[in-house]
Amino acid sequence: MNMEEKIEQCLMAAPKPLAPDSLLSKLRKDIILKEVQARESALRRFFAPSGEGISRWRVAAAIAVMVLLPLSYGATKLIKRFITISQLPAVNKVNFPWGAYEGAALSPDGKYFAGTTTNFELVVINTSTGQQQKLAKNCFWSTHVVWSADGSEIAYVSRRGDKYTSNDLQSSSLLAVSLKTGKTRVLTEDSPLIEDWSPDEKLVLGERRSKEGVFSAVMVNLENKEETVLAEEWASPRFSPNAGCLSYVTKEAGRSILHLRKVDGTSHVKYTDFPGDIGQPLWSPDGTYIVFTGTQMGIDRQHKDLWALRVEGDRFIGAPLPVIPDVEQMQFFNWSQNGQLAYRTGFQLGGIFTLPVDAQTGRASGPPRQLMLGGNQCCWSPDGKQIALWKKGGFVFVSAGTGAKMRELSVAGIRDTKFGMSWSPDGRLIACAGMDKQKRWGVFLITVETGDVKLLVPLEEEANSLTWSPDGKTIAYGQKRSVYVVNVEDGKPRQIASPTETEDIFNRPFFAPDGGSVAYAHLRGPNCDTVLATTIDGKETREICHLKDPKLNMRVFSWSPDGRHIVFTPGSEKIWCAPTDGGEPFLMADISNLGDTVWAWGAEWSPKGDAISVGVAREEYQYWVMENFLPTE
Amino acid sequence: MDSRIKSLCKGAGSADKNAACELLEIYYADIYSYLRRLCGSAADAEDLTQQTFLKVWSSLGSFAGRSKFSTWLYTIAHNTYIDSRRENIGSNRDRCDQWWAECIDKNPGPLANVAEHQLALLLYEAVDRLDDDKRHVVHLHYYQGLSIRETSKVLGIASSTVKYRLREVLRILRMKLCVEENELKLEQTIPVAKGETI
Repeated sequence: MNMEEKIEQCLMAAPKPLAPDSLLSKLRKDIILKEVQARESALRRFFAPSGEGISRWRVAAAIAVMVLLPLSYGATKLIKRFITISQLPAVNKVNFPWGAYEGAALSPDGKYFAGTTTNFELVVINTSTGQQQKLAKNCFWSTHVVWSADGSEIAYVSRRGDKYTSNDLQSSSLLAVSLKTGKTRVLTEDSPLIEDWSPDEKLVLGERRSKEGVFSAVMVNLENKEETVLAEEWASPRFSPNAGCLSYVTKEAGRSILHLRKVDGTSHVKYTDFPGDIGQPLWSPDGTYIVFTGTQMGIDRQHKDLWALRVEGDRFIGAPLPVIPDVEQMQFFNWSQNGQLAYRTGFQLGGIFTLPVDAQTGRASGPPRQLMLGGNQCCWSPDGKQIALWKKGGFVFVSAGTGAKMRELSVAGIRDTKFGMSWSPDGRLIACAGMDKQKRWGVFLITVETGDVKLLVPLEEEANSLTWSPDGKTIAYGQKRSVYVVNVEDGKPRQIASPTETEDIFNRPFFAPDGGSVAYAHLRGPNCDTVLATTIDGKETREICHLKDPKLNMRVFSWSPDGRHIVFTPGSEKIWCAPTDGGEPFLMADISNLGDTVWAWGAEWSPKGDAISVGVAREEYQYWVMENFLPTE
Repeated sequence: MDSRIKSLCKGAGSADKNAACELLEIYYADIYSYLRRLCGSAADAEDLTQQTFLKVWSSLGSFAGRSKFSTWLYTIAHNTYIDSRRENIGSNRDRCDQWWAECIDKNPGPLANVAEHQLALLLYEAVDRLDDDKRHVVHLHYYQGLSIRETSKVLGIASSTVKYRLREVLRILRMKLCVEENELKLEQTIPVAKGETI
């Protein structure tokens, strides 16, 4: 025990003086009590001074003091120091699209939220009443929509005609539609993907895509059509609120660079010190800050925070400050003039599913089963025991029966694959259509054991699908509007089918079970009601299947191993099957019980015909606005 | 607050003499001992205890029940003591009366051995020589067993101030005792140094 504890113990054990015996009786005699009246609370005494009714004048005076006094002390300033977030509940009923650069925007006064839907419509929603208005059709979905500075018009990219080709971006117009009248006017016939529209409505910023699929950020003068290239890459350019400057982001030597450039080009400064990736830079309504998402690699995951960088005139001031942490799930749209930053949070709940099928009837014999969360491309192993899924940077092999992960294969040579992969019949190779690290499109062969990559056929743009012949000697693929076959030995491609009508497309080739012909979808506009097959020498073409119901389409299909059925996903929650003998198509499965916004795509038959694999997209979104999140001065 | 005390307070407030008597029996000894230790005289302590309870009965209506009854009671006792000090400002108050020594002799308690007994006596005398602010927190917190919060309410100061004063008290007492203990040890070792046995 130390000295202090000893002292404390001693003090607490101090002897107690005893009261003399006579004291208690003296004290008892001193007790003089009077009845105490019930105490009234101070509030009651204030509001009812007479002890009867509450004085209205005093209530009014109290309210005046409670409201006016804080106001006079700058309570409104105080309130503005607190961040507020609120959901836009009305927006959730609209099926805004998924994708990497989907577009929606809050009007300058915050009263309307506009966006393009998967049905190619421009929809405007009143954020307080939820009332929806379809302002335009035939929009290019997954591009930005931009409000004019006064909120009277919305600029959007429109498809010309009903074309549905991968080259649409080179043939699109920029239109502006009036919120009040619904009348549209053409801003330019040759439009980039719009990112921003200057307040004086003379300039637009956007991203232009070359025929080779390379993007560049451009500024277009709508009066003289003069175009200034800002960067040879996707750069998210934005005008400052007074349109004196513009900002954009580029990557140089693996670092993100934030650019601040005067519109007339007389000044250009860069912020190069951010230690991660910069994305989605947006100007504050008063032009004093640029906020952006900053991505940094943590120990075990990627962190994405919202940062703010001060801007004064044409200069950056100081270093960026983190303002909102952990914004990985947020997609920011725009920062409207009323101070609200509109954003979306998303939850991806889909994945790759398998559906057991009766090989004789082509009908589902059980419920769908989730194999894996996430993933987009997949293919069956030739023995039907494994499914290979493409995940960023390589393959994941899972058991087709249990969904258990069997192994991972890193494929360093491939940058991206979007439209198809197929496992060779001997099981040694996986062919995939994609882009390599040198940004070359092509058909690639990947060795399943090692992950080595070989470019089989270089292409001008991405192939839309590919398939191995049953003997493993040939690969068929679709590119642009035609179908090709290539000999795996010599790598020489040969066109076997091409549409005669310029608007038509032959898409998604699929080898016939006998290997003698290649089936493909015949697209007329966005819909597809026919599957054709052409012999591999290209001499004969026949119709395999034709749909009578115009609501269905077979743009993405798979042929059963016995050749008797075609499974297809028309882009809804339903999976359909059509007999190739001319019988009526029937519903194979409805996956709507998996969620409200669910849809199936890319169904593919197993090699034994006893199951199909299908990608299920289920993304749920909430739309929010955020205010007062910047640091106070 | 203890529901029994609450009902007694309510009864006393409604002029129930039995309830008041019961309250008195519960608390008078504590209040007397508090005042007795403070003022150093049995007669003064009796007088101040009477004054305290007279004030209690006359101002029972102002007790709103927001604090413990005992805290309110100690507050009145403390103020009564302060008032009496002010009135008798010229009088020479004997702080270190013989009571401590007698009391320790009668009831040694944990101070069983002689050295501790002597140390305790030095300690209590040292407490009585502290300045008033520090002395009051020692009396209420250590001698009367009030919590820091209750002590702060009685003295009308912040809890943090009470804590600070207690730390200071311990520092001062430790220093004083170390000095005096060393002197004591020195006295005991002198004969040994001279070659004699203790």
